[in-house]
Amino acid sequence: MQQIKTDAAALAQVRRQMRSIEEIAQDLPELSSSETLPIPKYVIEVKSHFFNWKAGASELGTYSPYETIIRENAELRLENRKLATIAAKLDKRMNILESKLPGEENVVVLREITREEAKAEIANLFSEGQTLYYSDIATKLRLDLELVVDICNELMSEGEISVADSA
Amino acid sequence: MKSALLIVHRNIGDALRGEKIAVKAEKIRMGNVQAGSSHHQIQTLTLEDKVFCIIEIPLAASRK
Repeated sequence: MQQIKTDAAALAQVRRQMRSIEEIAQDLPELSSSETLPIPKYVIEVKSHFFNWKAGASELGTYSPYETIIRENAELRLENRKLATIAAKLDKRMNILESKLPGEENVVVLREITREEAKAEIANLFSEGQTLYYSDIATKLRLDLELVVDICNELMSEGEISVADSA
Repeated sequence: MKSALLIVHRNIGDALRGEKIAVKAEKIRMGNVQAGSSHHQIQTLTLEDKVFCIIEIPLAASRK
């Protein structure tokens, strides 16, 4: 609503300016005949061009190109606002989708340690009394999942760890 | 006390079923979301190249 008021005010101002120009242009023949105020040739040419242009514009049904520009500007602003709304919705949806994808922040560089070291670290982790899944161990110690499973099975066969009672 | 025995399935058509399965693969392709209530949506995905899956079990230090 505010935009419509602004555009209407701008249009009214342009119309007032056009009327002023038209009045000045209509006064030019009298001025050109004045001996005290000689009118340069280019001013007369401008006046001629103005009336020619105005006649052409009237035939096309548009009084002024400024009106067309302002109308187009208003339409573009409205369209821009709609596109901004759509873009905001798409951005929101994209954020939701991105949060569900494996992101770059989840990239973990696996440590390259010997099997013995890995076994000692896993055993140490269980000694803290935690109940852990294979994936928990792999994440916490940044070790390969397959290696963790293999070592855990070895620790189970040795009786060091077992399936938790809660399972 | 439950025992854990690692059986590796390599045959085409073998299936895994479990409550929690840990996976690793070179490529993970997100599939579709099957319609249902918000709390019962089922998602699908495909794992490709050097795939390893393991049915998770909670492990703890043995009581001695």
